[in-house]
Amino acid sequence: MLSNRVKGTKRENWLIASLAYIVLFGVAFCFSDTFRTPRNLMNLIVQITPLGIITLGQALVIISGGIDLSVGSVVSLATAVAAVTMKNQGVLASILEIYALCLCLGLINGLAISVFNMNSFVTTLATMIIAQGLTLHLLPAPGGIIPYKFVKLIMRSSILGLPLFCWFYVLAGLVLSFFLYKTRFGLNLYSVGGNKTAASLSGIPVRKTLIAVYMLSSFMAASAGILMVARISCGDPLVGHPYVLDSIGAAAIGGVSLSGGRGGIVSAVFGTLIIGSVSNILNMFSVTPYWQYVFKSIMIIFAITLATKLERLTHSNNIRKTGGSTVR
Amino acid sequence: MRIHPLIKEISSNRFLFSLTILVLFIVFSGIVQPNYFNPSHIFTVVQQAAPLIIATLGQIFVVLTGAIDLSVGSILIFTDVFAASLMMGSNERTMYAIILSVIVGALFGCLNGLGVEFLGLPPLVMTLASSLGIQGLMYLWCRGFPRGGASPILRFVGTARWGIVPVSIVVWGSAVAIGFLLTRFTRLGWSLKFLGSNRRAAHVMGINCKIVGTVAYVLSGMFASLAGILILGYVGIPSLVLGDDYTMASIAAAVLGGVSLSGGTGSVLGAITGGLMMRYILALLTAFNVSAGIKYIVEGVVIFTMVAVLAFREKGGNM
Repeated sequence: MLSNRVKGTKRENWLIASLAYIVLFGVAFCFSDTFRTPRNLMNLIVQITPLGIITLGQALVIISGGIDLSVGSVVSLATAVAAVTMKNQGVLASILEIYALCLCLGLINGLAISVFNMNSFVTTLATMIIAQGLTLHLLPAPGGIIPYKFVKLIMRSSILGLPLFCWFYVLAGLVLSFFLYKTRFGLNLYSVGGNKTAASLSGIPVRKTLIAVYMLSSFMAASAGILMVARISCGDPLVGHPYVLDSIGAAAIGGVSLSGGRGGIVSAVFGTLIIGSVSNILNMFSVTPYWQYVFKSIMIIFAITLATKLERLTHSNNIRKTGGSTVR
Repeated sequence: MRIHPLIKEISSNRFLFSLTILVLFIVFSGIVQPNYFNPSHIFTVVQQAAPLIIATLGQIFVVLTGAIDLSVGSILIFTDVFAASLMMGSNERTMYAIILSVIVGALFGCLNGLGVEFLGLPPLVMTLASSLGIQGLMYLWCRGFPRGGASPILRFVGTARWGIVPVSIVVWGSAVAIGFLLTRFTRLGWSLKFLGSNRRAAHVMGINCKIVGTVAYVLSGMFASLAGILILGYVGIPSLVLGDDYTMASIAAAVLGGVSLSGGTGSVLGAITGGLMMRYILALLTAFNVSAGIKYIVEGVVIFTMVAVLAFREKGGNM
């Protein structure tokens, strides 16, 4: 029923991102002998899983019209807490502690942004710094002991040839897709991101939706952190650092509009695949890391320009109505 | 209840508000740590804050237009490495290195502006992408190993003091003064604020929004590279790892200085109060001998509180 109601308005445009990914993958697959080895492909999947999980949460926040800079620090915090507590208190208790702490941070973000009407960028910047401080206080340098049983369960056991590690991404993607595309929560999220005032006037619980989405983002980041711990089998206070910008970049390149209200899970997945594969592919073509920075930057600018231009073409009528170039 | 006009003025002017908080901070530090409450120590903080103040000044120009510049840190670090390698510690080449570095900074800013205004990319994505690219160029320029160093003159500007007053105060003092005059008395300066308050209205008024938005980024790039040169003067040798700190710190300092991230509200003078506040908090915590973790936590809580208070005040004003 819900899907019928939203027909006619295009909320998500992942076509360009998917085509870009197919081209990227195809070129690498055809021209690099090392890229197409099963071992590298499996490695690639494991590499992008944490970024993928974080980007799912980030994409939902961006759809709601905000941004979450605290995800990276939350990942680090999760690994630090795990490194400190997992050995002494048991795996389950440690995981519960991580979720409790990180959901608190998400709740603070959500409350500040929805109730106090604070700017999402600075609010999450502040919680990012707070979480980083907590992390460094708990674990000043990489270290800590992770029980081998936990590492073995997450990394070594596999279903259908894929490590359990990666199945969490699949699971998270499916569950969040259901929430976003098939429930009232998803519809509310799009309307809040599209126009907050209008959503509020039409009786949508804006505050609840925003709080939920920021908590969800922290939850995803915490989950990614727990999985990271199994992969690197120690805590690292700076491990989450690159994920802040990568997750925003992945969401944007996948077609999630940074002004809110447009995008979705499929976009987030394709964005992650592109951002996550580029480094791997460039490595396979033996490009030096220095050039990789430059290449990545040009690629992001090019891809997003293309996406926005094509979107403008398809929405040219709307653009004209709202004043063309003056609207960003 | 009658409210004293001074209090009214302070609570309605965002810059005065942040200045008051800064003064309260310094007084508070004097009460809890009398040992550190002397002019010499305060001026040490002022000296350390110099690059941040200049970087924040550039950031404020962009924030006033309602955008954001995440490439400040990368431009700063690029300049740090670039200027050092051009200068090679010789006095004669100082001016040449500085001018060339500022031009390159302006060029990077110009690229950001073109991407945001003419390609229509969201500021966040464009400056994020360019910061990656600039970082790459920095590594390519120095091949992973920064060489060279600051010349004696630059070292003098960065570290010397007249009595207790640091020399670098002249640099950021004049930079902020130029910024202040620019925003107060020129058409361009007003346009920056108009753009941030209401882009459509600014467009209708006949302001060329695209050009003004680009100019804001150019200014930001120039001041970021100036900050990089000042860091080089303070440290003496180039470093590869200062970048990210300054991006986020400049945004936080702008906010602490009373500049609204939604654009159009705030004064460039906020760069001074915001930058000093950021560094003063750190100095105060160092005096307490707390761990790095606690420092971050306090810094985050202060930023959070400041934003909450400003948001709360605004809400109260509207109702």
